[in-house]
Amino acid sequence: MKRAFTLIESLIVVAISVSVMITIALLIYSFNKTSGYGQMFAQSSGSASAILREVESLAFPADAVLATHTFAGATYTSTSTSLVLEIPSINGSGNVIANIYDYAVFYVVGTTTAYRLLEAHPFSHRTSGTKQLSSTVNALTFSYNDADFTKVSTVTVDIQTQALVREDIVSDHRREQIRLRNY
Amino acid sequence: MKFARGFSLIEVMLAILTVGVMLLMLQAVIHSGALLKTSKNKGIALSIVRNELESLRAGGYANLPVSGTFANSLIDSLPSATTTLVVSAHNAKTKLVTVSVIWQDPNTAASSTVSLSTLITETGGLP
Repeated sequence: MKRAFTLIESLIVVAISVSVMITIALLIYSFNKTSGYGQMFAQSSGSASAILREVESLAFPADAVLATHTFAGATYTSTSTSLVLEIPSINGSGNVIANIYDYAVFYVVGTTTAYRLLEAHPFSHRTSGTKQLSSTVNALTFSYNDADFTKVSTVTVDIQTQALVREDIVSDHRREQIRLRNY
Repeated sequence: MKFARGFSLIEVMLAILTVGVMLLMLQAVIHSGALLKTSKNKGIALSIVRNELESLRAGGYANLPVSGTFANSLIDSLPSATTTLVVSAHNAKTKLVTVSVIWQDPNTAASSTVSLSTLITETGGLP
């Protein structure tokens, strides 16, 4: 006949199993928490950089900030929260094509999602389309060096992103002035 | 059976391996947090120096300041950060401007730097 476990033996087994389970649970919890935090952190600061790089890539070659422009039926206006640019079109070698233009607008939908809409001329080498730049915008502000849009040569972009991870808030703030190189 | 048999070598090694892999994964996740902070700080520093270069280029050759530091509203978001601005003569009609941000990432011994340089000429330049 096989000998049964004694009370002490069973108690020890239970104690060990419980402590092992607590350790594993803590490990999984902190793993989840840290990786979730990291993900939101990367998203918030990564998208702030993404907006900045995208505005730079279109505002540097732009020759004017437009007060308003109609993109395939929808009209966008340059304000403190949206920016409409007129950019000389380029060909495949990156040279400017005279007298034809691409148009781009940066805007925020709702309060958190930032988009870039680009309308390229059929002869242009740029690709038309809408691109989501960030889903964690807290504030996106454009300021201009002149109230008259025809005289604007410098745009200052101020981006604040914010994301909520459980009880923590991760945020980022960037600010850069960009001078239109073709003004 | 009079004596309970002990763990075999294989069993002990497997247990150590499992625990070791889990701890390594946790360590990697925690370390990624530090990397993310470093990369965020680099991004902020880069936008500070680009902003400064842009404003110096816009100001033009005649208005270039003397070497020293410069101010930026975002500098306080970097831990113990300082700025430097070095303007030196490149040739008779050109100046070399180097703009740097130096800051100290937490839990690192050495400080980090982002530095950009540009040439600004007496004639020409930005419109």
